Amino acid sequence: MTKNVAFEIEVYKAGSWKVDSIFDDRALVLFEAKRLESYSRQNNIRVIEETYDDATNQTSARVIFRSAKVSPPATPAPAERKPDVRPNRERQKPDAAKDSGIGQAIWFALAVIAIISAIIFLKSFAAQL
Amino acid sequence: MSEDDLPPGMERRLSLRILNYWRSIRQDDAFPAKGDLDPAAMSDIWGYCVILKIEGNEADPLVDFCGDEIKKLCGEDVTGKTISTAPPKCLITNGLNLYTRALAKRVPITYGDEFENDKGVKVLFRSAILPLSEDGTTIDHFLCATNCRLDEPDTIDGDEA
Repeated sequence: MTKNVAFEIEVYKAGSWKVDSIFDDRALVLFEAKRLESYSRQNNIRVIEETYDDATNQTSARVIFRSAKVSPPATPAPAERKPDVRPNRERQKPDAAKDSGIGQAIWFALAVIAIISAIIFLKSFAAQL
Repeated sequence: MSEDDLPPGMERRLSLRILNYWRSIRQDDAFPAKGDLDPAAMSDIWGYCVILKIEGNEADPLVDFCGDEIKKLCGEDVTGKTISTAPPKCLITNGLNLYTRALAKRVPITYGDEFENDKGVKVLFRSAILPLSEDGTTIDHFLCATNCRLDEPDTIDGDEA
């Protein structure tokens, strides 16, 4: 009974895995896959171990290495969003402006109430005369 | 330059050095052409290289080029011979016999094995076979590199001398 083992480096391109090269040595293929991973900027890389069993006449395959790189998502994940690096003063500007507007309205209302009260007071004072 | 003279950090294994070189001259997914090869750029391994002509010789490739070190290891210059007409117990015949698989798979293949040479000595070899193509797609040649060591009894740890 003999088992033949081969290793394939596969590269993910244009939506599918393509065989890049074939080796017979596990240490050599892993070395080359890691070297390719470090040089390649956008390709995903994996290594498939293929074992052919003479006795059963069957081939089995399993992934023994997969590069850590992943395809960039269409929109950045929440954890990857850029932090707000503006100074505190600038970041608080919108709220400060909002606070300032409310304050002006309150002061305006108080002023109107004071004027109306003054008019009523003067009218009643004039009536007593 | 021999392997011992290589700068620190440089890949020492012949099969990976030739594969790295092949990748470096490859344009995207197209195979490099025979004319793209620059012996000066791989002077340290060129002596261990063989170019097999596949075009018109798919079943029995022709040795188009044979490096000096391979000539020494084979005991003769096999340039111009086919794989089947080269000495049966030499490195070319035994070390490059996976060209059919490389032709079918259309990718570089690196492998090692052993055979017994004409002096009855076991030869341990490692080879790399890399596709070449004039149009980038149709494989017309293979760039091969192979080296070996003799597994002679009196050289194994000195315990059988």
